[in-house]
Amino acid sequence: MKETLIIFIVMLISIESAAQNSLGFSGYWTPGSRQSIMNSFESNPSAYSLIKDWGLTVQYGSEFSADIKSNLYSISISKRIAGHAFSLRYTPGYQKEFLFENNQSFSQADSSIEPLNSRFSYKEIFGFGYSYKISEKISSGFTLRYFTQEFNRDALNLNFPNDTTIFFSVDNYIEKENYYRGDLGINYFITQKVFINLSSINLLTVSEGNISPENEDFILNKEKRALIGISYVSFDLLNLNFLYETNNSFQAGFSGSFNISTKGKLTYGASLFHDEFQSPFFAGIVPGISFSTELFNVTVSGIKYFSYRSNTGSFSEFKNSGIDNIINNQYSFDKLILSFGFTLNTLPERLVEFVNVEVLNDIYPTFTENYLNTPFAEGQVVNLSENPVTVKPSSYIVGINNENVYSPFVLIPPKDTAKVYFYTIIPDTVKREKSGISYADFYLTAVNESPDDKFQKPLLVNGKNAWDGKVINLRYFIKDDYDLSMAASKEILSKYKIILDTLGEELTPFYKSKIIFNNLVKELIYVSDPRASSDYVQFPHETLKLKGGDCDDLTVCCSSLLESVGIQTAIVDYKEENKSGHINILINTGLSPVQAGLITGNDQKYLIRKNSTGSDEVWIPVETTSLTNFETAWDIGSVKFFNEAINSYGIAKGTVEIIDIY
Amino acid sequence: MKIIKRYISLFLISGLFFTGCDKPAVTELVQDEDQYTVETMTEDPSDESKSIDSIGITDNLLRYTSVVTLAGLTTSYYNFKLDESSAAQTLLFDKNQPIYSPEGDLIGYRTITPGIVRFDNKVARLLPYRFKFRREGSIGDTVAGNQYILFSRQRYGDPFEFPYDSFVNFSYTPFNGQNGGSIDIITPNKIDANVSVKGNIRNRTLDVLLEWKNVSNRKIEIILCGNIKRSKSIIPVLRFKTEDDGKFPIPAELLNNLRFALYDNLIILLERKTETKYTFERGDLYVFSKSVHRIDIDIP
Repeated sequence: MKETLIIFIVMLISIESAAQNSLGFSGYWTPGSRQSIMNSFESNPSAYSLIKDWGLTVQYGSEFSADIKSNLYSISISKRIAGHAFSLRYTPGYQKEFLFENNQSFSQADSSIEPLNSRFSYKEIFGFGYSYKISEKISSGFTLRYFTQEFNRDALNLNFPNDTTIFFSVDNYIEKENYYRGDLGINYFITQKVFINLSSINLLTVSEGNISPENEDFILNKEKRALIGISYVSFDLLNLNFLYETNNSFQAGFSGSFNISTKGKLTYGASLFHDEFQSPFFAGIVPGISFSTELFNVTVSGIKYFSYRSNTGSFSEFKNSGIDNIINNQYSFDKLILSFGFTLNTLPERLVEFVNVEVLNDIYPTFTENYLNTPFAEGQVVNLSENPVTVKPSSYIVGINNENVYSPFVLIPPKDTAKVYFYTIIPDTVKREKSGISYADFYLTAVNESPDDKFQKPLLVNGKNAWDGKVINLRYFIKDDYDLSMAASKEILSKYKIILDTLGEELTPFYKSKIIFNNLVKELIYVSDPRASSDYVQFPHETLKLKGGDCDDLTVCCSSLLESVGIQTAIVDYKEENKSGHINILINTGLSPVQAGLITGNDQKYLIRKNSTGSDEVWIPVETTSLTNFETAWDIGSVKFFNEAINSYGIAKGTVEIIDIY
Repeated sequence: MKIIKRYISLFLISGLFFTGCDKPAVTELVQDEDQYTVETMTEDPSDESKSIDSIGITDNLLRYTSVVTLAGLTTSYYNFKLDESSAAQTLLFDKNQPIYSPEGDLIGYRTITPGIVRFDNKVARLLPYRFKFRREGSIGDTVAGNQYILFSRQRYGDPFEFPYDSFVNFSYTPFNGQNGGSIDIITPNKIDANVSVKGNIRNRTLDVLLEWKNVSNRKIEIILCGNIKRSKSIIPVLRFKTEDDGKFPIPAELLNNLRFALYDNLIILLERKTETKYTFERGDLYVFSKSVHRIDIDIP
């Protein structure tokens, strides 16, 4: 701020006199205000625009000459495509005409004096602007404007058709010089409150048409200059603006705004300007007031000159000074301008945007339902609007999801940030053999159908056999193969139909378990995890096919076969410090506590715990890696369980955990 | 739908703008640079009946009843001064004695000499008043009476020398014993002009610039004449009336359109002139007092 003040003072000290070129109908307001869509190429050669999609501006006004003249000054259309802003301006009212009698007149035959007249007209026909948003702080652009100049003069022609005849005739000669003017500019928010822009004036001019020396004094000045604008933008009641041309002309003013309703804002401003060819030192003021909403703005602005304005002027002064600016020169009149600006957003306005997204968990495709409750990613989101916004997060994992998966909605206060969590669903059809890097697209959607913001992050999608080491997640391996497990179990049990039919109903689960286990272990051997790690688990059918596995695989396989025929199981997780740990299973015999004696007289070989319906039943621990027979495996499992879970208080300490499969 | 209605409204409003539009106000500039008026002095540039006389009198005298003319004439070839002459002339026309051409056109009036005319107390001589007129396609001349005149050249001739920037006393004494009259005629400053000639007629680049010492803010007349080849008659072609500001470029677009084949050379007359009208019982007396600088130039 201090530096800005110094620059401002230096400029004031260095002010001399110069022609004003950059004055438009709206003066120079803070570029951050909504009035910037009005395409004042005069003060904004870099075509800086805040338009979000389409914008249309119409400027209509009255000129207070001897008569009040009403003019349609300009029609502008703007369009933004991502960081590119385009604007096109048609300016039927940007014109100035001068009428005068030539210094030559002639006598008619009746001795009357016939004057010769001239009409000079200057017009700006159209302009095109382009601006590119390089970053949030910097944008750059250019404008291309088309001007026409027509010098229409009556000229006396001496006709001498033969030796005996001489007479005058009046011919009309028209000379034109049309030209394109191109300018570049850059806009930069030094801080959130200090905005500068640097632009050229008449950087590039390309003319067409020839002008005779007689009219050279009258063509529009094309002197190259620079334009520097500085605004102190408080976004509050008072913004300060200063626009300086390198030939020492300038505009200085203020603007401000405040909300007058939930949807409307009142903006006001005024600019004093200085021009060499206009007096007094401050040649005039450009006040304005605007009401704006998201959809439109209505601006009433005006130019009040501090010197008397007449419909007549001195030809010699005009010849000496010419004009620089068609709409603001020493022959311009006071004006009252009514501007309508309309914005059309076919694109949704961005209400929220990501600050960051962090992936919390890798994806294990087998854990199909896991990500319904456990977020795999977390995002930090900011509400850009001035109203509370309900944001709908969604995600799409390449190779996993077929469509966007929505996560719970989050209400974010105005201008606040919040965390959103991303959950997902993994279809049963996803069976990846190998792990690999994929990408997840994260979306934030507010009130619009299309997302307000998108964020992409890589994440690891594991193969189907990958396991995160959490015992509870083994259930997904157990359940995944139920059909195959059921077929295998039924095939085994069918061979023992006679035995099973003779048993009492209460003992059926126990004996089914025994039969299945004994038949299972006959064909299986204990094999360490081929990947020498705990992150690989075989599906039951793979264990049956491979005829072996480690404790994880055997436990999963055994549990799946039993569960598939209606026998409840649970996994016992023995968490040994500094070791890889061990698991086996508990089998629910379905017997009530009083019926435990039907299978054993040793109360160290079973435990009473609740089943899935909350009833106490007899559960027996079985060591699945003991591939001998059911009784042995039961004995081993019982000893380990009672030693570690009961006698060593493993369950109480948390070193032993029982995880139900259902 | 609501938005569509709004935009339809916008276009309707835009239509109103178009129909309610004027053209931006025009600024009328007042011409405050040197101005001049130009006129053709004849419709027939070869009509020798319109040739100027020896003292550069070019006006059509037909419309006057009584005319007094004082002239101081300087003659130069380019910027080389040849001689100076002075003339004082009085013509009194009898409107009851018109002169007609054979075609029946009024070409003048006979003059009368009913008294004595003096300039600065010097009695003017009576000499025949002769003028030219067009007769069936050729030029004829006739004597229409006498004129009062004093004429000197290089101080030879009559005892009259045009006093620049001064005045000359004109007096008239009728023979019939009635009261005469006397008036002082103011004379203008002498014109001492230089000419600069550039370019040529072949390329239509002839450029003639006249410069002189400006001593008044009045008008000056510049008469461009052609010296007819066969007759050596000097025919005035264009007359410019401009500010007596010391400088006048003859407009090149007019100069280069002259039919130069008609002329041996060009003559430029610069005239400071006063014109005064006196009303008497007998009629109006017009008094012209002029300072003339004649510059002859070749046609390059």
